[in-house]
Amino acid sequence: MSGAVHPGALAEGDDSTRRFSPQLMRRLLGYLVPYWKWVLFTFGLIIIASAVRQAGPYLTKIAVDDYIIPGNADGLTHLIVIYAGLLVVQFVVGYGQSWATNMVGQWAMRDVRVGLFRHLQRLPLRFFDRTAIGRLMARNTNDVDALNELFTDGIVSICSDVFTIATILAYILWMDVRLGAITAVTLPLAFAATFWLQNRTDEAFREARFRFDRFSASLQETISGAEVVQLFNCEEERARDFNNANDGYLETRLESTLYHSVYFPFMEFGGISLMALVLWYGGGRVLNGYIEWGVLVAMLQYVPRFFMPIRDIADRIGVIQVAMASSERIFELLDSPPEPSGGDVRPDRLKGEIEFRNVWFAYNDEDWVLQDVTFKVDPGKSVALVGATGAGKSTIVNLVCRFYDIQKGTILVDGIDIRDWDVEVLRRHVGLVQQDVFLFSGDIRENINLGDETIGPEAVESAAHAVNADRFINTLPDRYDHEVQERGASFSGGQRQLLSFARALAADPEILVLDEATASIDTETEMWIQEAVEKLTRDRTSIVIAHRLSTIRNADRIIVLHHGELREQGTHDELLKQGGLYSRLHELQYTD
Amino acid sequence: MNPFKPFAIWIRPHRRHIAIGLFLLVCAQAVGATIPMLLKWAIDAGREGMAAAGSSPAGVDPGVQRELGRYALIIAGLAFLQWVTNFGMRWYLNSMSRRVERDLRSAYVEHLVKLPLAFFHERRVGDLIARATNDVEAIQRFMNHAFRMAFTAVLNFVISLTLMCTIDWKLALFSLIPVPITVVLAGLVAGSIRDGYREVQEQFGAMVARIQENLSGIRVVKSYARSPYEIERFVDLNDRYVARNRYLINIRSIFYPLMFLFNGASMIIILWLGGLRVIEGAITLGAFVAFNVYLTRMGRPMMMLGRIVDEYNRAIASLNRITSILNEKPQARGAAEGEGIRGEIEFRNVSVSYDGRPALQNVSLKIQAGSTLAVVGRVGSGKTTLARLIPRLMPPDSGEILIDGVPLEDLPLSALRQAVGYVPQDTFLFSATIRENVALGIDQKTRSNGAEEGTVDNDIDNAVSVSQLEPDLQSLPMGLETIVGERGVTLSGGQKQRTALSRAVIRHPHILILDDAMASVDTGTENEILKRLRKFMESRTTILIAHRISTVMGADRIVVMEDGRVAEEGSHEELVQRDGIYAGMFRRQHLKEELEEL
Repeated sequence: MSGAVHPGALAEGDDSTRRFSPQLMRRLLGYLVPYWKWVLFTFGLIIIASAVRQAGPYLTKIAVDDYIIPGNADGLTHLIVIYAGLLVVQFVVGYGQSWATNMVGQWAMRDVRVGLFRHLQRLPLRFFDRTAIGRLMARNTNDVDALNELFTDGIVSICSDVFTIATILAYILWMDVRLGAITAVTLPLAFAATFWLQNRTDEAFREARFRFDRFSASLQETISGAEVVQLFNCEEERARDFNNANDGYLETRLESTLYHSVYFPFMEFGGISLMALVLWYGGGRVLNGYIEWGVLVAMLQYVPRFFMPIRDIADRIGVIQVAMASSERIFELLDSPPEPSGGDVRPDRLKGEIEFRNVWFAYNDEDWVLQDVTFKVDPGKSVALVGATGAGKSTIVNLVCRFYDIQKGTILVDGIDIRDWDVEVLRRHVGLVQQDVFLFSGDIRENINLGDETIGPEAVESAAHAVNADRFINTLPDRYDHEVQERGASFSGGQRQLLSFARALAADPEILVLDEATASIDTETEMWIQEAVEKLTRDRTSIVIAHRLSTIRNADRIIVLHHGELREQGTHDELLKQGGLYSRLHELQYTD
Repeated sequence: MNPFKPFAIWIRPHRRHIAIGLFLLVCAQAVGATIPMLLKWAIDAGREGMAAAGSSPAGVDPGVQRELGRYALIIAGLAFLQWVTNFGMRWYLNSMSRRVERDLRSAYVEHLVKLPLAFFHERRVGDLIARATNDVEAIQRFMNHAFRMAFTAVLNFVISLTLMCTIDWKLALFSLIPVPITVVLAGLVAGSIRDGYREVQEQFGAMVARIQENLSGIRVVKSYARSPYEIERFVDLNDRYVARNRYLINIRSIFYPLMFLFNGASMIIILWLGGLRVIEGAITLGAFVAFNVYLTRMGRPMMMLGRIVDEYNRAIASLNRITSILNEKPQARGAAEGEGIRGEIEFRNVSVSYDGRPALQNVSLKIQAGSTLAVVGRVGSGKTTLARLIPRLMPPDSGEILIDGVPLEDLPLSALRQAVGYVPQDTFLFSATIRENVALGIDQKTRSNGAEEGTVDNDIDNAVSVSQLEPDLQSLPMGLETIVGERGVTLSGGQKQRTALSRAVIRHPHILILDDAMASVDTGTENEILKRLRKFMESRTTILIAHRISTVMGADRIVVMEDGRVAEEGSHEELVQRDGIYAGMFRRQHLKEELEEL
């Protein structure tokens, strides 16, 4: 059963295979350490299983020499009972080994996945700004699956194959050293053929993989750009391009097919030829009385069994190479630096004072988004940020939550540098309401308390009531137990905002950071929202990116940003009187 | 019932390959099946030789040893023959599966590009790609295995059984008792493995969804310090995933050893009953060995049968997914022959709605050939819908659109689109060079149309100059040959829009539509482009959708859209004097410009 291929991973240009690396291997094996008892158990069973499984032909030898040729029917029956017993043992051991191997794989993969997930939670927002989610998903799905195969189909199977070869050799040598030696001599030949195949197909496989990625990327573009394709009448051109890539892929595939077609029957040929050799040379030894017929019969059974594991090893090597490339990508992600956890300032309550002192900030290099911004918000007061798009309002919001670190200047919360705060504690005391409200799967209650058990059902409901969210929650069939579907697509923009207000109020932060939504909302909901915003900001330090005139008017102070600079501040009336930037912005944005 | 019937049309072109492959398969099986018989004769000869020698001190006649050697040589020769035939068999059958794969994929894509745009809006890109990759591969895998393995298993079984029966039919039947059990069991377990696998996949899907949700909402997660809760929920999902896997692992861990158990049971029957028959003297030791080898040969192909049934089911499902797309109706291409388009456009009572929300309501509008119409209005007022109707990117719900007095549907689609240069606000560039992106759809056909060598280059130069892309090209590493898009250089929004503009200009369209196509271009560059375009647009009908008043001021006529209706109409001066919506926009624009200068 192969895992499903997820299209997201196909569009990537990463190498799909990689040569063996001891460092990577060591780190990978680290994940097996917690389950070392099971791993040992597995390997123990592998040894037992190979010994038991290969006992059949040897038992046949005993049967032929000791019972069949001498004509001892009773003895034969005894032997059969032993044989049957061994089969049962083989079944039990086989079951145990397969179960333990696969379960260890599952457990280890769970650890890798959870470890990755845990690490993702700690990465800075900067990381998410430049990394596509699809790529991160592929790490946690396809790549982890490849690791699982590394253990189950790779390491364990190769060990099992090697033990099988060793046990067969041991049985043969035990029966007759000369025949054993002849068989052993063919081993390097078989391995040489296998490595020949490996080398030939490796190149072809890489090439095929590369072309496959190319044509699926081209197809993705043709589909995403269907409109352009049709507008410019280049449907046929795109199809032709695709067909060329597709034909190229066929060519490389046929190349591998050719090698495989030579190799697999060749291994069979090798096996039968060895049988012929054994028949001639072993037969001669029987005729001359050095060995008995049973040895020859057993040998003829061992020879085909001998070549099977060698053939399988070729497949496993491919699996390991794919897994190596995956593990490298996983470790690269695990090694990307997490965001700083901050200092150890962790008060229970905050006053809620915020101060920006000569803050300079850029998302990239020196493209300053904020330039020398200085302002202070007293505890319990509210500030409205006003400015055109790109003036730097959202950036200030991001910085208060310490989603990014500033390049110059200082940000103080309660007079303490923001960098000295424990980041989690700081964020718990700063309630953020975003413009586009994000709803999680789960019920309404969970979306308000966000899994915080200390916020009980009453607290949730009173928060919802306070911000008027209960008005629509009460109309839902299961009220607070209503399951949110598809990230809340069935809720209107206004309803989603009310929910996010409830979320912020339930967390009861000392500082509220609100990015008002611009979306048009029906007048009734609009009224509820206005009322809710008033309640939210009352007696709470708040920074609001305001789009509603009412919110701006109610703010204690207005800060006007322009191209990253703080240009004006004061109350609504003061600023209007000044007749500067604000009065024009006001006219532009809040009048029709 | 013929299980290959659904695949018939895909297999038919390769029936010669299949016939040769199957013929070689029969040969290889026939050759292979004789080998155990040869072993039997060789061993029997050896036994007789020894018996004849009895306990004489001279030992066995050396002729017996030579006879063994001859048998060994024949076996090696047959093995070689088997290698060659098997090689041919694998090559013909496996390459056939690869060719079917190629055919399916290209038929799928060739059909896909012809489907109407609405089709693409309803589907997820990933799903459409999966059909060309995962689904096609599932069919390939089945094609590869089905012919080779199913035929091998059946043929092997029939030939071996026949030959075994010629030796001792009772023993043959007894030793094969476990075989039907194995096949039935394999089929049954394959079914429950499939069910278990589906459940695992479902849980996997839930896990993937959770990661996606977490990453999309990472800001909320961080700002509400929700990550411990998120981790807890994720661990919980993981545990459930492991639990479902445990069920699957249980079945599989029983299944494969059980197969070995049944295979072993056959061996025991041979060893026991066969041994007794040898003791009785009913069969020879050679026959006993031949039985053993036949059974060993039968094991693997039998175990594969269950897997093939599973692969067949998957292949059928995949084929259905592909066929469902192939059965989609392609875009209607229009009836009448194409003639030169002058470029007069008329809308007659056109209405369009999206999911019941009206986007255009009863719009009637006439645009003279060669004139410039500017369209302004708020976001969502219907400007883009108006523009997209002209190149038939979407059909109107009611009303009619005519070009040069001919209804749109009666114009050949490719001629219409050849005549319309539409530049959308969101630019889509292919991962290719800028040259290829600009010369999109200008292929050999157009080039051979009386144009001389090098004309295309001139056209490109002209196009990038009109759209003011030229100065940027000089700063790019490879100029026109720079690869852009996902795998290349990332262009700025403005550069992208200017590339898209060049793309339209190079086609010398009779109707040029700029749908807010310069929103990311700075005002200075825009003015320069407009200046150059003016000459270019002289003889062409132009529709200019824009937000900046400075862009639309110079148009012959300006239309103000509101709520899907034409609210105002006239020249810049007329509209400013009218003191309506347009005049308000004009004032605010003024303010904004003042603000910029502060």
